[in-house]
Amino acid sequence: MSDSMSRARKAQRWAPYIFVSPFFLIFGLFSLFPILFTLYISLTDWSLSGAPQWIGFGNYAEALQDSRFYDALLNTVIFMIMIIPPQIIIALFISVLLTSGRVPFVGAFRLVNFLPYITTSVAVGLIFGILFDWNFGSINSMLASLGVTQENINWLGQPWPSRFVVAMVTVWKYFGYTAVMFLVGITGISRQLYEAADLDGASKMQQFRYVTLPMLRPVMVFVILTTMIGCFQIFDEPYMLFTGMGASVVGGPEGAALTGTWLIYDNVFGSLSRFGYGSSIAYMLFLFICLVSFLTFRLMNKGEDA
Amino acid sequence: MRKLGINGWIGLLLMLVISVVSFYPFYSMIIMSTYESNELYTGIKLLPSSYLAENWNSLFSIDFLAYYKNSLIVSISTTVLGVLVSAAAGFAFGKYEFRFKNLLFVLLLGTMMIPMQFGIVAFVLEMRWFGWLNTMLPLIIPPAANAFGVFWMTQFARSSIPSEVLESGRIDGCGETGLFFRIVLPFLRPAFVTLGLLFFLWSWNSFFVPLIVLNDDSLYTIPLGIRALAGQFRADNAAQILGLTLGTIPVLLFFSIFSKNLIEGLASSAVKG
Repeated sequence: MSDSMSRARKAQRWAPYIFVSPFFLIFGLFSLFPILFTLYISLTDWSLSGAPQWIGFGNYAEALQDSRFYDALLNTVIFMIMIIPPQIIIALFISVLLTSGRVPFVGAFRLVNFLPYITTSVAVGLIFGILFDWNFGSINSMLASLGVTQENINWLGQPWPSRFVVAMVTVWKYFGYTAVMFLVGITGISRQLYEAADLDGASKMQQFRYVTLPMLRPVMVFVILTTMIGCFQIFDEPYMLFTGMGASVVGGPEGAALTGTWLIYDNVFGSLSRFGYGSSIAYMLFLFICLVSFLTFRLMNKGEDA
Repeated sequence: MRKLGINGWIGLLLMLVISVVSFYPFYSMIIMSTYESNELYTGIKLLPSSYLAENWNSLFSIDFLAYYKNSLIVSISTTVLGVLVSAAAGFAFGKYEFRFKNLLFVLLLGTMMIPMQFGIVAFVLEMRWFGWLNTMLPLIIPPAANAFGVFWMTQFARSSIPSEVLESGRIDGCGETGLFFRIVLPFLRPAFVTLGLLFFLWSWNSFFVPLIVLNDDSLYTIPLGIRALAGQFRADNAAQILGLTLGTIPVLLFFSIFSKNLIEGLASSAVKG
């Protein structure tokens, strides 16, 4: 009896390790190891056919001379600026309205605004490519018929319009998801805070400013950080937009939509097969993203102290 | 529902505008699949045309059903595996005390912020060493370890599995693995729906990794197969769009059925922490 008891207790002690092991095994093997091993690769000269040659920081030095590296860096920052504010404003607006209890058809609105998130990026790239076509796209004919533009805009053929389209597509795709995050956050805020604010005579706007926004801060930090990191990852939609229909322009016109992921993809899996060089770019962008995230985090927490 | 004030009406109107913008490209996709390719570029389409059958024929003249089947195999496998892996780890984090628990959990949360793209070069070389290139394994197994999934299940397990039930199971002589399959999994069922939906969606729509690891077009999933359609044959955009529309139907169905669960599930579990 006591023997079986102690065996059961022993099993209970080991069980949690066994239950977490599938996750950490798969994670370690396919996420952690590759990220660490990429650091080693970045210090070598390695291409498809040969063996790795240790070259120290040679790849890093080369990347610092590479104008495309700076393009990717700059584009990532530009996309952060073009994407984060509209995405947050639209998502906040929707989530506040849908939780206000004043709007009908909440379920339908929720579903419709989530549709872009469930649409595969290949479809998104293809459809927007057609809608934003220079000569025959709906967007240009709509703008012309409204009298906004005199002549057609070459959306996908010029740097800034291209960036605008990519940013727009990204906001379009992800704002519904961000809105769910905010919805979750708002649902978690205690009703009593609003009742107290009501008793103090606070208007709806004031309640939003002094109750909702501060209480949403953790969700906000999470959303901003993940969106920032997401800007480095943008790949699928522009890849479809700019290479999907015959033309093969890496990074869009003049590299205007070249992001970190695309640059790595092109160096390693495109025509070049330069594993070491691509890895060094991954690491430099990684450091850059960490730095920007850290600064943002500090900045947002500073706001809380004030 | 209270009465709409003037602000309420403005809000509702803005909401409608956003929803139209949100819906229009999606609607376009469905409508465009009924047109002939060279008609796609002529003005705004709001009504369906009559070319659906022809697009259907050109789509099914290639092996579209094989792509569909591949997508189903990959997505269902990842979903089942991912939900189980997440549930096991979530159960351990939520209901046990053990050494290194907090350290491991912090590690887990930290990894949610690191995208796999940073390690993609070594990942692909690793797949080559394993002989996994041009197989479905890189699409099924690595995504099954998802930090968000574990976090999600931990929150749910902590709040919804009563420790007394686990104890009485142990007193009745149930082993720890038995507890997991017979008691824990049924308790976690509501969390499966939400997490399973997300796993399925991510896997179904995945493009970057399949693009890198698959060369053999008999293994292509829908996004890859549809993209290849542009290169291999004439650029039949309308047929491609029909394929993408058909490819969207499963996720659309799941999400319409479960969208209420999804949002409420997220709300009841993720934030309470």
